[in-house]
Amino acid sequence: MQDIILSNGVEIPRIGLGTYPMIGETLTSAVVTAYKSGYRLIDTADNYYNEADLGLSLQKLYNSTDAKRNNLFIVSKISDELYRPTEVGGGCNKGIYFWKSSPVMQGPNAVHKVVQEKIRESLKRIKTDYLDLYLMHWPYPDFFEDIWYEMELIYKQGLVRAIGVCNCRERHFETLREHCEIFPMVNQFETSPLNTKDEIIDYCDSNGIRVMVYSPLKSLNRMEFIKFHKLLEQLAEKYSCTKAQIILRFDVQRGLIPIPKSSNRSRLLSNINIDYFTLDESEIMQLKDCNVNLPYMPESRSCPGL
Amino acid sequence: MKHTPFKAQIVYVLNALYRRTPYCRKLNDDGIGKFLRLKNYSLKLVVLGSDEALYDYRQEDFGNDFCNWALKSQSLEYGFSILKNYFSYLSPGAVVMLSISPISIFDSIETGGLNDRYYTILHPATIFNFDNEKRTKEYLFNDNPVGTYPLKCVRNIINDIFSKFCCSLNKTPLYPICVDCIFSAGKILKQYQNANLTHKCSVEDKVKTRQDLIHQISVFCRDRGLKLLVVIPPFYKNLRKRIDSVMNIDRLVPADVMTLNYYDDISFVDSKLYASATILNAKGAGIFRSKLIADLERIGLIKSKK
Repeated sequence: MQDIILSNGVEIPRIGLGTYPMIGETLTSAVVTAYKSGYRLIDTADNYYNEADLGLSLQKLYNSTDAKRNNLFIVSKISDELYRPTEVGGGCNKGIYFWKSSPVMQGPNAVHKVVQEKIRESLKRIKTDYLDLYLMHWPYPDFFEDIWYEMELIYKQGLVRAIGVCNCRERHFETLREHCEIFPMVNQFETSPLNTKDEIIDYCDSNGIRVMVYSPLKSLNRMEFIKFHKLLEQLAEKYSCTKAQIILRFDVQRGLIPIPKSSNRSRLLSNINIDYFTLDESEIMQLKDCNVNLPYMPESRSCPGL
Repeated sequence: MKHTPFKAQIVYVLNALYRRTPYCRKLNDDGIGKFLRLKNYSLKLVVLGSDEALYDYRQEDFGNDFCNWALKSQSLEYGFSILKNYFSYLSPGAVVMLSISPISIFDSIETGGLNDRYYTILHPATIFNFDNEKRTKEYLFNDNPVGTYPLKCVRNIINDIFSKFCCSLNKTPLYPICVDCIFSAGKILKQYQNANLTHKCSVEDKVKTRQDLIHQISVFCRDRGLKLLVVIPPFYKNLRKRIDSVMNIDRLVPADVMTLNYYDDISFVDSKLYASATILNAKGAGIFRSKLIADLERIGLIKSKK
């Protein structure tokens, strides 16, 4: 599968491995298996709390295979803190960083200090000198432009090879266009045949922004969409593949970069093995017709003011 | 805290009993509580507000694209927080109705324990004076009310049983309840009615604060391609007189915000249409909804079903 070229010339693999919420041995095993299956892109974030485990997993990968740092494309994100899964209400945002109400954001140059500290901590935990892509996890409304300005500095410092955003809409990009020096190279958000988000994808395409897709297979859990599942079954039978492969192929043919998460050896292999068939135009349209604008991930709940 | 099997069973039964009581601070089955259970998406019409919005706007008349996001005793500030957190569930061009009761300008977000219910449904940055300990308690309380506050819950269960027993012996007629409501709402206004200059300034300030907040909501909606409509519901005439003596209702909403005003509507003069001074009864609410839907169709905010 050929790589995609970002607007600054950096090459990014067409499919990647999502790592949330894997930790410890599960993550190490998934990373090694994924590498052996052909994955080169690994996606994490500071608030997945698995960067340190990923760092250790990469060390094991380098020691046990021919993998080198420059074979891999490592993505991380700058985020607010989450409540840990073991805490009450785990998984929800804490509101520690990037909100006007946060005590840590009150001092002078607070955004600069936080962003510089966060990137250096991420690099240290992942045990690398640079990241291939660094993303703003949410368009935090109180400090959106300030965070982007700091990310531009990090890019200029050479700590990251590319920078981008997550969950952004057209109005966010237009705000950045007015104020920023470097336009985002990537926008990562959730999309599926049940939520095709054609408008923002068209906007990204026409503005040189590449789209990464998180949780690309979540739509498979929504069994109430009978027409959608029947179509997937029909296509899976036709191409002798799984429903998940149909969705990932659909994403790739739309020019998107899906990052499915799996720790299962056979699923890791099948998720990347999608080059042996091509969906025709009518099948793409049929899948697009399943669109009901279903937001699977509670985006607005995680980040008000999105 | 671990319970023996016998104690656990008692706690289970008491929790079930407590959840049936009106004291239970669990979210209502209507309004935002219902939305959070169903997570309807691609909505075209929502209403935000307090008690009157909760009871006066019923789903069945507005159709499946409508959702009621009101909550009992909700301030406008928290209504805005709900919009910030959940607006992603609205379709582009959707209409946000803001039901505003004139006496709500005297509400304050500082209403103590009542605001704790937001800890489990809103992002911390949209909760005023966020307190992590309160959040933990609220999550625990949601899961296990009796285990978290045993004495209070047991007292409320006993009160509930006692009040039901008394009520069955002597049912209170509706009219005195209505008079009570007018009296209590009137009490808030009375201090302003007999106002000296300081009080008048205070009303002016409150109207100005409200105008500013509605303006912010209007900008928020405009930036996200949503249409804001302020609806001022009908009021019982005796309460209206008191309100008119302290403020000019027309000044409550900024001039550039679309408004439907039923405050003075002669169709709602009859006291038999009210359940309380600010809330219509079933008959009154039915008339109100018919009029509102006709007006929404007339101004082109919803399509006619005919």
